[in-house]
Order: sequence, then C-alpha cells, then structure tokens
Amino acid sequence: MRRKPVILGAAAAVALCLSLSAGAQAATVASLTPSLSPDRLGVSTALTLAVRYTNTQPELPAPVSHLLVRLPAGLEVNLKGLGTCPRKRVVAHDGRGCPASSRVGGGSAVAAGRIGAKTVDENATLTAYRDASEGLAVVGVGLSPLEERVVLSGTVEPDESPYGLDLAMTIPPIATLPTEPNASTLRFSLTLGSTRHGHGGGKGLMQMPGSCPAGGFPFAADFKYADGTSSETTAKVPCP
Amino acid sequence: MSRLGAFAATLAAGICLAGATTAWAGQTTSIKAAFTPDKLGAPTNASGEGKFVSTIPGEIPSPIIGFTIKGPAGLTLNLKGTGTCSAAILEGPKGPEGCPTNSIAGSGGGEGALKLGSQIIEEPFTLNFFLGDNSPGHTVILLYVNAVSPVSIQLVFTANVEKEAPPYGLGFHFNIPLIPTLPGASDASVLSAHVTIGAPNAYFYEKVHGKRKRVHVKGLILPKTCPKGGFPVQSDISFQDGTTSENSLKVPCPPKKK
Repeated sequence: MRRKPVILGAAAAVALCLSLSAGAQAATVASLTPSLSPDRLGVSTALTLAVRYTNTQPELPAPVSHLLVRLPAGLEVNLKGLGTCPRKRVVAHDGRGCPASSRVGGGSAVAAGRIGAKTVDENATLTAYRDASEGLAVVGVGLSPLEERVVLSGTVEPDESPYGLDLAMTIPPIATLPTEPNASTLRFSLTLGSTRHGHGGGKGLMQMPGSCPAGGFPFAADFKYADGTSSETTAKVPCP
Repeated sequence: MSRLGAFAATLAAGICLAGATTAWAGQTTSIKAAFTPDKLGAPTNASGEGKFVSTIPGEIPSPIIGFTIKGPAGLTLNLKGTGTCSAAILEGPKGPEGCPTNSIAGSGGGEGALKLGSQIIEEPFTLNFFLGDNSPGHTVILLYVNAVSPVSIQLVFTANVEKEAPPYGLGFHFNIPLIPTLPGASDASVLSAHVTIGAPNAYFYEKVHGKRKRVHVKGLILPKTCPKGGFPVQSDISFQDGTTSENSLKVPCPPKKK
C-alpha cells in the first residue's frame, strides 16, 4: 500500500469553497469537419462528416444524444435504386442479411468510458443503412474491450436557405459497466454515398450542387448532450 | 480532507451481497448486491452497494480497518485473456492509466467523510480493481482508491483471492489502515460505496501463432447450480472502534426457464 503526501489544512478547505463557488463549468463542445469527394460541381459524390467532441474541462465530454447536421442547399440525396432494410433486422443482426443496395455509408468512431479513475477507449465501426421507413439506421459495433452495439436513428428533412437538407440523428446511451457512467463519443467520421457503387441509373447517393456560393458550401450542426446541455458549430467546404 | 481509501475499500465489501441491514454498537451497515446477468454457469458481473450510518446522531461512522468478501461455492474465475498490473505501476506517475485495459477487474466509487469540529466534510472517491496476478490459484487483486477534492489522495491495497470454508467459495480480504485527514479532524470514514467486479462482455486481442485473435474474457462465472434459498455471500467489516459487521446474504437464484 502507498500513501502520497496529502495537502492538509484549512487552506484546502478554503480552496474547496472557492473552487465550488467560482469554479469553471464543464461544457462539451463539438467541431464539424465536412468534406466532399470528388468535389466537382454536379457530379455524384461522397459526403464525409467528421465530428470531434471535447470538454472545456479536463473531463470526458458528455454523451451526445442528438445531432442535427445542416447540409448546403443544392446537395441532393438520390434515393432512386436504393434498397431498404427493415429496422428490426438492422437492430437484431447488425445489418447482416440486409440488401447490399440498402447500405448507404460507413465510417468509424471512438468512444471512451470512465471506469473508476481510468479512462478506457473503444473503437467502433459504423455502417449506415436506409431503413424501410425511409430513414437511416447506423449500426455502431465496438468489439474490444467491451462488446458494444448501438443503432443510431436518422432522418433527412428539408431546411431553409442557405441550407438544403437536415440530417437528424438520435444516439442511444452507450452502457459500459454496471454502476459506471455511460460512454462518451470522442469522435466519429461517417461517409454517406460513394461514387464507386452508383445506383439509380449510375447516379450515386449524394449529388454535388450545380453551383457553389461565395465562400464555399455552408454546413452547420447542433448537438444535444445527455447532461442537458447543447452546442452548435458551423463549417464550410471550399468551392471546387 | 484526505485519505478516504478506507471507506472506499470498505465497500468493495459490497460485492456479491444481496441485501441486508445490520445495526451495531457504532454504525448501521446496509448492503445490497446482485449478479448481472444472472445465468447459471455463465460469465457475470458481481455488483454491490453499501451504506454506513452512525448510530449516534450527527456523527460519521467509524473508519473501516478491514473487510472480507466471500462468494458462493461454485463461483469460479476464468482469467484467460487477462493481463496484470502492479502496485508499482499504480503508484507511478500514470496511476491506473498505466495499467493495461485487460487487467481491469472492476470499478466503483462512493462518498467518504471526515469530521472537523462539528462539521462533516464529504469527499467522493473512485475505486479501480486490477489483477495483480492472474495465475490460477494465485489470483491477486489490487484496489486503487482515488479521491480528488478537497484533497488529492491515491492509495493502493492488495488482496489474495482465497478459498473460503463452505458454503462459500472464493473470497478475499483487504486490510485498511487508518487514513488521517486534516489536522484535528477525524480519520476518514465511508458513508457509501458501490462496486462492480467482472465484465462478461469483455474481449481483447492477442497474438496466437502469429495471428491476431479476439479473446473473450469470461472473468467471474456463476455456479452451474443454485442452492435452495439463493447464492450465499458474506461480508465481514471491521471498524476502528472495535466493532465488526457480519452480513450474510443470499442472492436470489436466477429465474427458471419456462
């Protein structure tokens, strides 16, 4: 057994009181890095959304519960020729058995859980399917150190200029160990669409706008966290 | 405030206990526990929580100086795929972050307290359990206690996993020294704590014949049969005031399949 020197005395109590009264509030913030590839006007493209969560204090970010990404006007989603997969199948079998034509994207994520005083990271793969209700079902599978599976729900709705479509996602809690807090997402990258697997007469899922506004394609994102807080951010993808 | 390790470690005692309240001369001990999932012969988590209340109004419970946990006969350990950590690593600059993830045996936390004059000061703490030795029959558990504010404390305790007399099986004992706090204040006590041991859905990667293989760490495995009345478990807690609290509990048997 070992004991570290302990700071004792009234000063500590005073410091505690001060820290409690004037201490900085922990807050989770997120950054969004979108990219389009290829980025030629009017062609099929793949949209990648890279999101990173941090805490303003040296703590894990709060678990995210909702995410809304606003896509630039003119960036279109082409559903023609896409298959669908029943959500029950996605949930029960991680998408195994779903038609290949229902797979609309994929990516990766890193989550972290606080186990006592130790932080444990978990890498996960993401696979996105178009479900039978015209929405998105994104399966996240982490294999080590804990076998974890979550299914995120997504919908696409129209937005107002300068945006065109909204991608709204609900993220379920990621349980770790009993009595320990849920895991937090540290970062994820999700790519929707591909130019390699065209559908619907050769068009891909995502279609680049025919023109680019001055300053680039605008993106924005709103985040809600499990602790009741929220944050927002904006980003731009340079014009081709 | 300070070394709250005692109370922390104390409630590690909560492991494997079903639910009991014991009133003693100095404090009331209430402990609950469960196995999740509770499937016979399957990997499980043993989780527990406990609360300690002084029988004297306005006082904190006496500091804990030791505790023993006894699990039911037939509860086994399968540590294939695990790693180990050491007290030296835990005491080093990285603390628990220096231990390999596959050496984690459990975790928890709680609330400690000290009394300064008539004021009771509480301090939260966390618990980390690591495997110090994963050799069959020689398992060693390390307990890392961490408290940050108002005073930073880090303590490491070691216990050997041993075979207990029937109706119990595996068990372990931690000795906890008195933990001084502020000048003129009481030693640290434990008000509440919760712990979880095991991780039935834990997997790690290891190289087998040059190939990367995913290994399922089973950890704690429930007995294949459950005795009438439930799994017997027991915690013996010793307090600095000379009292002891023996809590014999029965964790209900898993529901029978229909």
